[in-house]
Amino acid sequence: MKSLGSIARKFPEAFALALLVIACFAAPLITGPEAPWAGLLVSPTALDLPSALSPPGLQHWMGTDYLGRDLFSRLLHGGRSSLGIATTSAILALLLGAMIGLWAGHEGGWIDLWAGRLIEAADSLPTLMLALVAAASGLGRGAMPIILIVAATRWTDSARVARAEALRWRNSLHRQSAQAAGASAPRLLLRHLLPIALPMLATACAITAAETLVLEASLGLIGFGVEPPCPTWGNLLLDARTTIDVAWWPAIFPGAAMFVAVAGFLAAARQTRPQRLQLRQSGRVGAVPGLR
Amino acid sequence: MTGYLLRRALASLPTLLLVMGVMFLLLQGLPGDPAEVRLGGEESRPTDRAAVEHLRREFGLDRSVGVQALDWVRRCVLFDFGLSFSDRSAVGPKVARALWATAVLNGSALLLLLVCSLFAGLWLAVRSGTFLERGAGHLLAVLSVVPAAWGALLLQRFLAVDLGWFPLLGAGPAGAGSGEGLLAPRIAYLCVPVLAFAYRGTALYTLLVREAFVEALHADHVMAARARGLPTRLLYLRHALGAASRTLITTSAPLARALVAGNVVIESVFAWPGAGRLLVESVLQRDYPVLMALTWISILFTLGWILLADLILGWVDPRLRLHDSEGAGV
Repeated sequence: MKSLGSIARKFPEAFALALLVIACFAAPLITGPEAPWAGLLVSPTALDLPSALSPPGLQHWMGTDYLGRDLFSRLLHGGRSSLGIATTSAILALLLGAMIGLWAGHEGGWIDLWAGRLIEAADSLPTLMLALVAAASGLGRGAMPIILIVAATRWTDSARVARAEALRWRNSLHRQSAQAAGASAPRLLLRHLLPIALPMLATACAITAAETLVLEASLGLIGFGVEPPCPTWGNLLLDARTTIDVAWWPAIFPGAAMFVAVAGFLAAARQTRPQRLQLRQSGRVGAVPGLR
Repeated sequence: MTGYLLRRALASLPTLLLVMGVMFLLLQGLPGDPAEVRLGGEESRPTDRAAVEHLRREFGLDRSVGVQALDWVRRCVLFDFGLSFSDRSAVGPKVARALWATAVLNGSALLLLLVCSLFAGLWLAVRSGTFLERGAGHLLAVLSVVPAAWGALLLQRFLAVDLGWFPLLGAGPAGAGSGEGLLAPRIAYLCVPVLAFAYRGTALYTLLVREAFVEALHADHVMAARARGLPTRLLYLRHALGAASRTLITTSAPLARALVAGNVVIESVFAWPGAGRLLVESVLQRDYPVLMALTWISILFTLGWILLADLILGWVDPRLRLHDSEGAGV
């Protein structure tokens, strides 16, 4: 049994991200009068104009913004939306990409050829631009358009990875034995191929999550994010931007949280990779020529 | 050579068509008619149907979708984008001004990035393993993760507000156009956006270049050259620099795109009148001609750069030419 401390030392970034996620998603439990542990946190949208733009202190741990809203509360509640958007779209992109990639690599032939074309094509679509157009066009400025657009354009990373894994696996002894044993196509894909591809897919997924987090922040910063009263880290940065000449604290904290989250996702992406290499070294995947 | 170029150009044709096609369909399919936006603003719908119809005819939006699509193809090929929907000025000069502002900002940033990452990368590679090098490596790794949206705000706050060395935002002294004006005050406006644009890429590229340098300096032929007593300076210049430039060239496509695409975040934070801001404005205004022109130029530039990078790569590293008989004459 490993202690929390040793995990924190081994995976500092991921540990910090986990803490952040727990804090953000537990925030509603301690916010507002009806919550189980009421009164620990002010509502993220409660206005307190007399104490607008007060610096960090005992009353407001991270200070208040230009409308006197508590920034600590907004940071935690904003994290729910931002992290939610990032992980949901990354998982959607992963599912879509993995399905297309694994299937294409497994089938081969003209299906694979067309899937390759499709990946290239989707890759050349500008995500930020599409998100801008969608936000400006009255499709709604909620989280959903952002999630759908990211999923529709960023599935290509997972698809590439999945396809590469499937192609390597196609001619392996592993597949031949599984097929000889009478495994059906779905069983081949899900039971035999998917576990092999999973670590690399997780890597791709984590990178997409980090990218989406940054995208949401960028959209928020330029005023095209989720509709304003709802706190997200991007919207917090937008508020910070408008008061940057008089207050530093609205910019520091949400950005720092974003930094921790991005670093955590990227560290998770790094840490899922060697596991696969380990697998291959122990001979379970089979040596693959031409691949480092 | 010509045949090679031609084949490469043809190969990128589907990408061009797809991106422009998606843009076109997107603009067609999305709610919000340019004529209504012009007459009614963001919220209210205009009541004067005749005026809307008149404007639609003027914009050419009353024609069938197919005719409009063909018209776009013609305009893209001829680089004649007509008049902007928002202020009826010619799209060409308008886009050119924005692209110039973006190119000034991003060009300086990329120059800074290249110079810094080459020197810092070499320095780190030479001092590989020392305490200082490890510290700098960690610092760069951290820096490369700092999101640009946050970094820009921090730099703006620290350099322009706390230290007061640079102006907060804008592209030059009030009222100055893009062409005239003194150089020195304009450079002051340029500094913080350039830093905000460059820091992340510089960190990433320094790490990349360090890897390439370390690898190059440990290669057999470099070891042999060192054993022969080749001066260290030449060692770095002839061998290591070549290896590092290969890395830089092969990974330069996103940088090239950045050169014309305009960074929406940086340009918004610093109120820089570049292509990124123009993009946001024209999306809000449903200014289709400007949107089309910006998209078209940015794709053309990116694809052209990838082609150019291949040619330069063949020039820097002759081994790569052997694989393609057509490219052998490069």
